Formats: sequence, C-alpha cells, structure tokens
Amino acid sequence: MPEHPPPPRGAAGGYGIAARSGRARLSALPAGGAGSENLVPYWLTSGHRTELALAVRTALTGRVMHPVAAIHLQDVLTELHVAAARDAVWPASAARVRLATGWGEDVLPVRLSAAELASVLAMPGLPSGVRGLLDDRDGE
Amino acid sequence: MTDTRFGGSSAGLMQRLRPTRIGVADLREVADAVLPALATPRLRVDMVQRTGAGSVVVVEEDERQVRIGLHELADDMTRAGVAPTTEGISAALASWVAHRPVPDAAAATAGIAVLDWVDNTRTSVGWRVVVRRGELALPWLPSSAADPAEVHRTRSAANGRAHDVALDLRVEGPVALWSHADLSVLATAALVDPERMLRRITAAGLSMPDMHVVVTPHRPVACAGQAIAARLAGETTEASVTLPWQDLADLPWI
Repeated sequence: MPEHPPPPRGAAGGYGIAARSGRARLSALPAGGAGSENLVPYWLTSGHRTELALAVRTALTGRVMHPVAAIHLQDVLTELHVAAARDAVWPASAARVRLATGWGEDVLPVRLSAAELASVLAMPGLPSGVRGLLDDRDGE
Repeated sequence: MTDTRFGGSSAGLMQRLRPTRIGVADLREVADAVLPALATPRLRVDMVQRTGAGSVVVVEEDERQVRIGLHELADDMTRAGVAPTTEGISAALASWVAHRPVPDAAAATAGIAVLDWVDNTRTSVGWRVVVRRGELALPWLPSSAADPAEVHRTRSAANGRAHDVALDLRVEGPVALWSHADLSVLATAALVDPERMLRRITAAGLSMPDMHVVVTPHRPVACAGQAIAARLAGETTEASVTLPWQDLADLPWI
C-alpha cells in the first residue's frame, strides 16, 4: 500500500476560510442544527484511522475506565465508520480538499468533539503518529 | 446551474471556462448527419427550415414535442462548453435528444419510483417517476392530457418496479449504504419498501430498531439509528434530508 505523507498537523476542512484568515488551521463548524456539538475534522490516512480504532478498542477492553470516557471512545469508533460513510455518500467535498492539498485518496476527515478528542488523547496506548496529528491543535 | 443536457464530459476545463463559440453552420452540418440516425418509429427528429427565419430542430415522441431554433441550440451548446469539433457537437446533439421529455406511455410501461428534490431549494424530497433511457434516468412529468387515474396507475406501477431494482448494500459499522451500480438516481428506489431494507440490514448483522434514512437524491442512501444519522448528515455542507423510515410512505409525489 502506498504510504501517504501525513497531513500537516492541525490541517482541517474549510481550507478556503483558513487561507483567508491567515491561520494555520481552523475548526469547521458543524452544519447540524442548533445545539449540535462542535465537531472538528482531523484528516487521517487509512493507516492512521486503523491505528486509532485499534488503540480505542484496546483501551475499551484493557482497563477500567470512567464510563463517560468509555462513551466518548465508543463515539470515536462510531465516527471512524461514519467518516467513511460520509465520504461514500458525499465524496466531493473531501475530494476537493485532497486535490488542493495533494493528499492521498485514503485521507478522510474524522470529526471529533472536544470531549471525544480529550478521551482519545488520554489513552496511554495511542500511537505517537496519530497523537501528533490530533494533539496540540491550537499551536498558539 | 450546469447544463447537463449536452453530456458532462464533452469538454475540458479550459473549454468550459473559456468556451469557443459553436457556429450555426457547423451545428447544421452535424445535425444533418446525426439526427436521421436518432429517429425511431416513435421518435421524430427533424430539422425544419422556416420561411424567413432560421432552422428549427424538432423532436417529437408521442404527445411530447420540443422545438428549438438552431441559433439558440448553438448558443446553449457554447454556454455549456461543448467542444467545437464534429465529434463534440455530435455527442452533444445526441445527448440533447436523449434528454427529451418522457412521454406518458413510456412512464406507464417503464417508470421507476425514486426520491428526488421537490424543488431547486433542495430542502425536501418527494417521489418521482423516472424512466431509464440508455445511460440516463429521466424524470417524468404527467402531460396535461393525462387524467388522474392514469397518473395514479403509472405511479403505482413505478412503485412496483422500484422493488425490482437491484442495489448494492455496504455495511460501514453502524451505517448501511445503498447504491446502484450504474445509475445513482436509482439508489433511492429501495425506499419504496423500507421494511425489506431493514430485513436485509438485519441479515447483514446490523441491528437498527430506529432506522432513519439520509437521502440526497442521486447519491447513495445511508441508513442508521437516529443519533448516528444526525451525526452523518449534520457534519456536511451537502444538502440532504433525514427522516424515520415510517415517514417515507407519506412523502408526496412530484
């Protein structure tokens, strides 16, 4: 399988807005209705998504965990599938970003809430490559 | 809005951005060669010379008739970015004829029920009869001559045919995705029988007691529980409609 260069740290959807604002990255606001939680896209290769899923499953089965954190991690597993489903139904928007950035065909936006992200980053078994893509998003 | 009547792949990006004018003389020459071959016993495709005016292309099938001046057709092709070659104009002309309106009889004998946008705002969906014509699936609008009983029969038959449309089911975690191998618009045909969809989803190992469907006409259909469907559809800028499967039967006909 060809190895794709990992997307730049903090790269996110809505790149046009990022370019205008001059920021290194931005948080894409959800298109959902009022009250929906703000989910932020993290562009991950297929390999990184597989690593993330494996780490989450291991964390869920391997140790005692706060039930709320466990729910967040379950939601992360769900999101990994939903991200793929989203791309199957509406491939154009992610394809535009891939075209603009030169990212590989397997790079998809995985959209996480702050709580979900925090639960992921709290996992000691998170591979460093994935952690590097998810962590320190503010960079400011 | 993009004009799809002339086929989407006839021109490259530069041709669409900076279209070269399609000349009437060139179009006439191509039409003379191409149109006769497109005619069938039910389909009349002619170029008619009007006295004191330009030529008109006439397409007639059953009760439907389309007439367009050659100048206007050439302008439309220019705007659509049709490649100004014999091959490009020929393909665009054939595509334009293929996009002609669907007659009542064709809808009655071959119509298939699908979901489509109710209007250009793309905020609500309804049932529509489409007819396959080669690589296209074209919408049917009842003619003014069609009586309500005839329209009802055509829609009922289209509903029945939708049951026979073979769709691919892909399970992506808690999401079931339905798509059609050739014609994306047919992906929603399965929604005429959501209980059968549920049975297939269950057989594939997925439990979905509160199945909601996420519909973007002309795209694969996604089925998931309510919260997951909301997460799926809420995080995209693409237009879609999410509804519980029980509401499908109550959607209006377009």
